Amino acid sequence: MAKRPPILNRVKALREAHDGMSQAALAKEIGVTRQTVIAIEQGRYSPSLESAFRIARVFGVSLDDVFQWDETAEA
Amino acid sequence: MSFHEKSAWIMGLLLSLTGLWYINQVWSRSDALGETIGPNIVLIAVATGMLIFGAIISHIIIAASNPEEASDAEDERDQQVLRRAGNISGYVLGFGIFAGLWHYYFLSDGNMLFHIAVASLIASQVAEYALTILFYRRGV
Repeated sequence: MAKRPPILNRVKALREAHDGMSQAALAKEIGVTRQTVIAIEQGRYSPSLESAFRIARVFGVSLDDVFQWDETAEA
Repeated sequence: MSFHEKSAWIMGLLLSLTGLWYINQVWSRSDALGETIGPNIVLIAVATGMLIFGAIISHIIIAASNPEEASDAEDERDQQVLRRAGNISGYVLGFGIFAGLWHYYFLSDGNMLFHIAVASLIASQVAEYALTILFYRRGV
């Protein structure tokens, strides 16, 4: 069974703070499908390092401001 | 639901129905004959034709319902999902072929080996579609 990645993210909050940017617009900016953006926001998918950097660059923040390691998820 | 996931649902359903029809045909004809029927090219051609026809019609319908998503190229998540599903489904095919070879080794029934190989191909492909759906929904 697929395990949820132990990574939290603020993609949805940053997107909404970014003039309510749509999921489709963000998807286009980083070169993935809208479903992948949805999966990232829901924590079902951890993007590649390249896509993670692209997301951070779209919002003009550092990688740490978008993604954080979920300490509580560690076994 | 993405175009790839819709496609996996449809192809999984179509292939399951076609596979069941094929196996049922082989089973009933073998039962009537009293031994395993040989490879039947007509049966395989009909099953393949049904599958291709169904796939074309259904994909036209889902593409027309959302043309924008239908033209999306596979992204990194799609590739990861498809690669993992394909990898695991390969084990299903391998297991089926392995079982068929041992069946042949003990019973020397070449016709049955053929049908087991076809059934293994169908089962592995159905497994690939099912795993694709699972990974899209639960995460890779």
